[in-house]
Amino acid sequence: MGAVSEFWDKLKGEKKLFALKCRCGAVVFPPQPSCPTCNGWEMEWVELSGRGEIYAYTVSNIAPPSFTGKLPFCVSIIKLEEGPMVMSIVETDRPEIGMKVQMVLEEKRNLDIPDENWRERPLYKFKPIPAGDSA
Amino acid sequence: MKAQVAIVGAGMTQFGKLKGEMREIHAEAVRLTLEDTSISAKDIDAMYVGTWTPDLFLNQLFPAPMLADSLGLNNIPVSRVEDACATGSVAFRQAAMAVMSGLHRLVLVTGVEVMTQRPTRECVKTIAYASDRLWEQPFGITFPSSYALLASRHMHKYGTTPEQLAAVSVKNHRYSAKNPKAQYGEVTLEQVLSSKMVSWPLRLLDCCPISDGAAALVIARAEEAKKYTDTPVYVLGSGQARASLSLHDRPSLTSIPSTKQAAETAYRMAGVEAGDVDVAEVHDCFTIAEILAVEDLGFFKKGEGGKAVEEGSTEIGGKIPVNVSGGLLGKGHPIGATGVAQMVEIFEQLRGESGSRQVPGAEIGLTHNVGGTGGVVTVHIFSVKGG
Repeated sequence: MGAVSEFWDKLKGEKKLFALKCRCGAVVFPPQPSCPTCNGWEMEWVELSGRGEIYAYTVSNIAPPSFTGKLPFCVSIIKLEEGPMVMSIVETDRPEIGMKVQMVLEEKRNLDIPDENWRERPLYKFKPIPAGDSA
Repeated sequence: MKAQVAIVGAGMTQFGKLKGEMREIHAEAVRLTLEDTSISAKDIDAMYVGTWTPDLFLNQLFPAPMLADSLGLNNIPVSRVEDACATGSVAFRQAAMAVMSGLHRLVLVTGVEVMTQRPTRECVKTIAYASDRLWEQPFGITFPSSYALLASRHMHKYGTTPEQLAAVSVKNHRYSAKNPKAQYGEVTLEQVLSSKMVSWPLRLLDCCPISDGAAALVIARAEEAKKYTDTPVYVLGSGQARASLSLHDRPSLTSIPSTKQAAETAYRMAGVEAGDVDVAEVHDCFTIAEILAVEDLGFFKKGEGGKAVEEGSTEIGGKIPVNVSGGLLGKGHPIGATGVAQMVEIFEQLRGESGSRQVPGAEIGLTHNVGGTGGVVTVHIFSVKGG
C-alpha cells in the first residue's frame, strides 16, 4: 500500500535503492507519499546508483539494545550521486567527510518494531569504495 | 506591540533523581507557583500539561485528568501536549493563545517528566523513538548521535573544536552550581575532555542528563495581571516553526532552520532585535546545540558560536548571558518540564530574584526550546515592561 511500503519490497526484490521522481523533476528520497517540492501525487520509480559520499558522520559508542552487539559503529548522512541525502551505517573504522561509499545490502535485519510483516527486512548500508576504483 | 498575556506565577521542583509519584512531583511545582500569588487552584480556567512520554516511562497514558485530580481543579478543560523536547514550551504557547483568544482568563501551564525509574539503556531506546522509525531508527540512531552528526559538519565547515564544545559544558555547570534546583555542580575542562566518548565528537559531559522534575506557570490577560502579582512578566513575542524530522532531509546541517524562523517570528512580534535581549535560556541538550542556538538566534555570526563561548561572551558580564540557570546540561532535562522551567528562570531573572546568578538589570529575556533536532522549535520573548 503506497510508495513507502513499495520501496522496501523493491529493495528486497531488486537489491537496489529506488527513488521517486516527480513530474516537476524533483527526485524524492527517502520516498514520501507526495512530492515535498510541488505537493504533487504523481511520481514514478527511478533506480539510484547506490554511490555517494559521507556528508556528516559520528561513531556511536551507545545504541538501542538491538544494536549493542555491533558497537562501536559509524552512522553517517550520505550525499547520494543523484543529490538526495540519506542516513545509514557505513562499515568503516576510519570515516571521513567526503569519503566515497557504495550501498551494500544486509539481507536480513531484525528490527525492533511492532509490525510482524516488516520486522525482518533487508537493510541498506554502505561501505567505502577503495581508492582508484571508479565503479 | 502591547502584550496581551502575562505570567503571574512561576515555580519548579528540584531537578534530578527524585523520589515520589509523577502526580506528587507535578503538584509540588504547582504549589510553589501559586504560593507567591493570590490565586487558588479553584480560580484556574484551563490547564495545559506538557509531558513527553509518561506512556513509555511510567505506563501512564492520558495524564491530564489524573494530574488535575491531584490538584483539585474544577471541571475545566485540561489537555496534554507532546512535541518531544519542545513539549513544555508548546504547552505554554497553546495556553497563551487560549488567553489571547479571550476564551480563558487564568490558565495553568505545567511541564513534568519522570525518567529515572527506567534504566539508562531503556531511556536511550525510548528517546530514539522521537526519530523516524523508517529512515533513522533502523540504523541505530540515538539523540547523542543525531547531534554528533550536526557537530561533525560544524567542525568541518567552521573549525569548531572539542575544547569549544567543552567550554559550553564548563560554563553551564558553573552556573548550575549556583542554582539550588539544579541536578549537577561544577565540572572542569579536563573532566569534560576526558569523560567517556558517547558518540564522537560528543563525550558524556557534552550531553544533558536523564532527570525527573516539574515546572509550572500561571498566565493571565495582560490588563488583569496586576490583580495577581505586583510584578507580572509580559509575553512580548511567540514564534514556533518546524524543520524536517530527519537531518538527511535538510539542505544544510550547520544551522537549525526552525530556530531561525521561530526567532524571526518572535522578534518581529515583540518589536525587538537579537541585540536587545539581556538574558537567554537556550536549548543546550548537547554542547553543540548551544553553539548552534547562539548563532541561529542572531547573537553571534554563523560559525563564531564556539569562539564566543570560549571567550566568555555568553557569561554574565559578556555580550549575552546564556543559560545562567545551568541549562539542560547542568540543571537537568526532565523532557516535558524543560520548556516551562526555562520560562521560570526568565520570570525570576526579569524580576531580579535570581540571587548569585542574577543578570544585573535584565529587562528582556528569551527562551528557546527545541524538539528533537529541530522538528519543532519555539522562541519566546518576555519583559517586565509592556503591560
